[in-house]
Amino acid sequence: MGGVMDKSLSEKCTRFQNALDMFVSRVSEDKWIQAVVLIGEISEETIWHKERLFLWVIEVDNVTKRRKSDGGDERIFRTYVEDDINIVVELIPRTRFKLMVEGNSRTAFTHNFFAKRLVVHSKDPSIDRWFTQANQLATSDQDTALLIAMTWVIHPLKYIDKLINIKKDAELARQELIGVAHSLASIEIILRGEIYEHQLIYKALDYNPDLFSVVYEDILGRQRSFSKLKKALQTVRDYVHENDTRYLRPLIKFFKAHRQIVPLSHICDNFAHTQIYPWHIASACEWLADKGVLEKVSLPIRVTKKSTVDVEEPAYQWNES
Amino acid sequence: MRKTLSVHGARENNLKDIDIEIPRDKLIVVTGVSGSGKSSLAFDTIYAEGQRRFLESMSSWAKRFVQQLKKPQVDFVNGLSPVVCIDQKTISKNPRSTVGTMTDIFDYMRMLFASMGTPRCPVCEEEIAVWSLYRMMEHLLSLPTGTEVEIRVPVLKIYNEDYAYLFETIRASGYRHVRIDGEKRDIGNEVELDEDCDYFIEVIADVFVIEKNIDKQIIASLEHANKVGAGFFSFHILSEIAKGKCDKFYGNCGCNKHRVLCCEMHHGWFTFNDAAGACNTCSGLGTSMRVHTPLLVPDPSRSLRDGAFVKEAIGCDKNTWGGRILESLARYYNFSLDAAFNKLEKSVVDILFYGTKGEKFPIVIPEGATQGKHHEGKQVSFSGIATNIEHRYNWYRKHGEASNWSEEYYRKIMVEQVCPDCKGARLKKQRCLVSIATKNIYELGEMPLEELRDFIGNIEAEAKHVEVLQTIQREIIGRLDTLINIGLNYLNLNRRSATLSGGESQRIRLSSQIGSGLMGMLYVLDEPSIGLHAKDNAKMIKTLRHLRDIGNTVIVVEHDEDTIRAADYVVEVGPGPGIHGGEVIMSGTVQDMIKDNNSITGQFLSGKKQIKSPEKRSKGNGQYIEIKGAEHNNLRKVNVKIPLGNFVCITGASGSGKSSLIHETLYKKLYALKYDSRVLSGKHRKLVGADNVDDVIHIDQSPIGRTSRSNPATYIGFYDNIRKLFASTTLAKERKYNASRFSFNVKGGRCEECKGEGTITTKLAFMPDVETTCPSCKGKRYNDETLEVMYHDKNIFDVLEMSIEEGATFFKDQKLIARKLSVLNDLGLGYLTVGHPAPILSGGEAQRVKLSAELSKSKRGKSNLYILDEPTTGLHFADIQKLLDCLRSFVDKGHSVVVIEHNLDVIKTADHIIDLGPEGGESGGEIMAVGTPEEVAKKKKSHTGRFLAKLL
Repeated sequence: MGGVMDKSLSEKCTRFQNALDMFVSRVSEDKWIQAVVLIGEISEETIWHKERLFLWVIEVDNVTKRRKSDGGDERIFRTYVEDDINIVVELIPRTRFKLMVEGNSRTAFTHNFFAKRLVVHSKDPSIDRWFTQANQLATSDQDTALLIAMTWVIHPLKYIDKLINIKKDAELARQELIGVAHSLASIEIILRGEIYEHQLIYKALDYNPDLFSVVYEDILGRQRSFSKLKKALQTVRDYVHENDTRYLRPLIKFFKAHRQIVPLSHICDNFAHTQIYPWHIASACEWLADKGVLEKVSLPIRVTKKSTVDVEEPAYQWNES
Repeated sequence: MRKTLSVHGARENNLKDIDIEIPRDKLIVVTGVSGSGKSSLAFDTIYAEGQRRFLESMSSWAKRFVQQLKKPQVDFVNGLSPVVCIDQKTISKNPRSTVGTMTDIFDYMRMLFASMGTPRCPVCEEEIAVWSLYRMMEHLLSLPTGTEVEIRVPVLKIYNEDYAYLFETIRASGYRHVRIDGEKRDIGNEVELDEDCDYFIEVIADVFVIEKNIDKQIIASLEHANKVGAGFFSFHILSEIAKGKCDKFYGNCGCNKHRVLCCEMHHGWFTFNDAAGACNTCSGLGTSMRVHTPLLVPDPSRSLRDGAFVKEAIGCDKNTWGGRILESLARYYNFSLDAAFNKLEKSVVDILFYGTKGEKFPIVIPEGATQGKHHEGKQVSFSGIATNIEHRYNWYRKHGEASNWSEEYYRKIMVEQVCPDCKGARLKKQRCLVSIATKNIYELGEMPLEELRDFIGNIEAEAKHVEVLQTIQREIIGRLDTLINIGLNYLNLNRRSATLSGGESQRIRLSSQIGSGLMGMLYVLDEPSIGLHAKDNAKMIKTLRHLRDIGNTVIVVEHDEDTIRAADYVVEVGPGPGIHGGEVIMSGTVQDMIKDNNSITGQFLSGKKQIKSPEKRSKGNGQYIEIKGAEHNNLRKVNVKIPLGNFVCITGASGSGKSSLIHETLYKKLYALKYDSRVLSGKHRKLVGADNVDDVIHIDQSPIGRTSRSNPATYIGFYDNIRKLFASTTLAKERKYNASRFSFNVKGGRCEECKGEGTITTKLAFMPDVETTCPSCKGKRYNDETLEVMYHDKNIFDVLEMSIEEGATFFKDQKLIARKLSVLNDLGLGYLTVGHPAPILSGGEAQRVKLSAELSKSKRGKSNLYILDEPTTGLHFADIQKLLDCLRSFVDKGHSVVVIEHNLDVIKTADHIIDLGPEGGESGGEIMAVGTPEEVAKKKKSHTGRFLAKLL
């Protein structure tokens, strides 16, 4: 049975590869097409679920042909077909594409978006170069990605603690902990300068088996053991405690630079470009304040533009002692 | 073709169904006593109907975009042309509006710089060439195929920010690599640089391998890179090519050191209203704000606990963070919160304003506090009240969160300073590096107009630019000439509109109209002589005649004798003010007016009536106020002694420094000393004798209210007494009505259908709003129950409709109300009703209401200083006498009156004159003459003296 399956997958791979080659050979004669990039891969591990091919086609600037069906969306998608296989193409002008690759990487997802892509056709050497660079995660982007992942880890910790100790809801606590484990997995991947990818939990298990056996494998079992859940939670806490100043580096750097009490609203505004949730920032600040790294106080703020009455909002200061 | 403009059945405001025929293509002056209906005829009827008909001619579609105007109360107006109104009310407060932008000269200057300016390298400031993006592209394509070439754009460090911020900005624009002093760096990684050093930073915008058909990519790449590099580029060959080719490529490509080229400039580069040109720090305003610590502590004799700090500085409530910080600082640094602020040690004040410089102290919870106990003992540092405010302000500005509201909030505690980045030029450094004959656009904007005219006229151009230059020169010089001829030669293009007087602003707009060169128009002007010295008046009259001569009809509402005499046709509306006016007394030539015995203006022109000089001038009380070393604006460190207990006139040519001396320096300094230390006065060395006056009061002609709910009774305050009076009647007591029942502003007694307005406005989509009398109260503003309450057979509505003259008698047994009504009546305002809506009061009427409010105040000090700026604006000869009588009554009571004035009839009645000059702007700012009118008239170098000599 396995042999039959392998054969059919291998045939499917060949069919998809041929369709890709045919498409590339056609567009390579078009002087207005600069490059073609394959999204995803054609391999026996992934081909089983594929229905279509997905490509980026990078075109010369100012030659875009827009259709009525594109509406107001800046991104343009077209579907072509080769050998009865649909090829979904995103058409991107060269300059815009450069900005996408070289501009600020905002999330781990955008790292993944450009990295490790296969340039299947290119007339422009600079496009190849951009992809090579995109595979190297810039340290500032790495820091931002770590910050985001770490806040995802910190944010639910108190809630999980209550689920276990007050509500005694093992199932919900387990689900939350699995979410945390995935965030921890992305930390382990980013930490190694690698690119955030699908199914990263398997990679993370290889990288840090001691951690993930406790926070992931042990709680996956059918038995909902509170002791295992408590152990997993404590392990996560210890992990965060040990690494927080390193993984929350942009936040710590911000406080060190400011050297004064900063209201939460200003902190959140400062990190707005990273698309990090403000309540995640608040949780991270609370964690650092609990630990004594920050001093938590409060500052007056007015709710509306025209308010004349103050309310207080949390504010934090770097605690050098 | 029609030769006249006919108005039939005009009933607007107080006009009594009048008919009049006015000749077209002439200079017509409409005159009459204040409140007689001149403006109702010229503006509210002729101008309003002309404008309405113009808007009427638009399609229904177009009408949706403009506010429709109400039809004036007139049967018909025939012979109308397109009408332009130049009044004095629309002075722009927008800090971006300048003389240059108002007159459109700045637009031509921008075009001049964009087409003929010489740019310089932003790094080495060497002159560089201007190439179009296409020329750059062709230059790149001239390289052999296969050559790798890098496109770079030089960038400058952002003022007051670190390099990390610059790199963040570059990254956000979509670029990851830069060259720092030539070395390639990835700004995705941390780049350590010494913040105190300057580096030559270039963004690597793109790298191309030269081949055929890449022209579009190059252009797109250059266009995008242009947004980061402010229009500057450099090109560098990366691959090995033959030396000859290399030399040829670099030969004329940019400055020698950095190879920086400038792309084609466009006019948006030179305006502070466009992001391409505006200074990044001040966004083109030329100013930024900084904390002025005295504003944080208006009364230093108060203690911190007693609220020494304004609420914008720090909250002192014991349950707030501010309260906790103050308590903790006091405990840690050992000072008392109950000590007067001015008794605190300098080191403590320094900590309060500028912080503990990193030193930590434990939080102490104030005694009696109910909140914040969990903070107790926490170790915190404090960055200081002033530092915090500046930090917050910069944050708002940087994050684009600054709103009018927050600007207003910070304005209470911060003062404007010249932008430290652009030094007031409002433009980016790169834009100020573009020059014509060594001058950049800001420097030209600083030149007085005459000097600028000469400069522009002497610009020489290369052959290819000659035609462009001539066209732009013609436009600029034409407009400058008009401004100079109209007596505004002392201004410069950078002068903010908000700092112009109403008269200056009106004359600038007049010059724009003349510049338009249109004919067949109907211009309606409101007192263009305001703010003009007698010597400049002739220029204004010449301008009005010019406007007429090019084929326009010019209607001027005016009281100035010279203008009336210069008119081709005069109309007098009168005979009295308000209900006593609204009729055409005469219309015809000036000679007809002089002969007409019914014309009060004619009687003043013929000399039958005149404003008399006092027989004996007041000697004053022997005390003085002395301003020493005043140097605000153009004042040249002048020392001025103002005798008190006198009527003092400040005179001088327009722009000579009168307002700078009296309003900006004297008034603001006294105001700051006596009431509000947040007010900053003009620069001066010392003010002596401030204690010699009890109060300082500035009375201007601004409206006393903008809604119909405001009226003389509410402004002066006796309406409260009237309401209380009605509340004290038997019926009101029986019904338990209190004074608020008789207010049309609050629910209870007012008519709820119209909310106390008396009228209901219905908004129609593309038709004008329709205002109808309220069907419920029939315009009486109150409900029936309230109107049933009578005082001496009159209800509250009857009282509002009563004339002031009548009211003074009606309330004769109510001392307080009667006194205030009598003062209004004595000032010639008896014809107004008690509830006369404030928005329809003329400027002169509003001023007299304010004066009467002052006169009726019994609690004022014994020796006050009243300051008035051109109080005769809008006043007829007959009204001027009333005003002078009123001002004289202030002096008689022991007060002092200082008046900035151009009207010679007023000046000649003064006890003391201070004449500034000799001219306006840079040529002014000196004291030309001081003394009684007779003494000043003898000073030959004083312009005022010369004109005064003819009158005395």
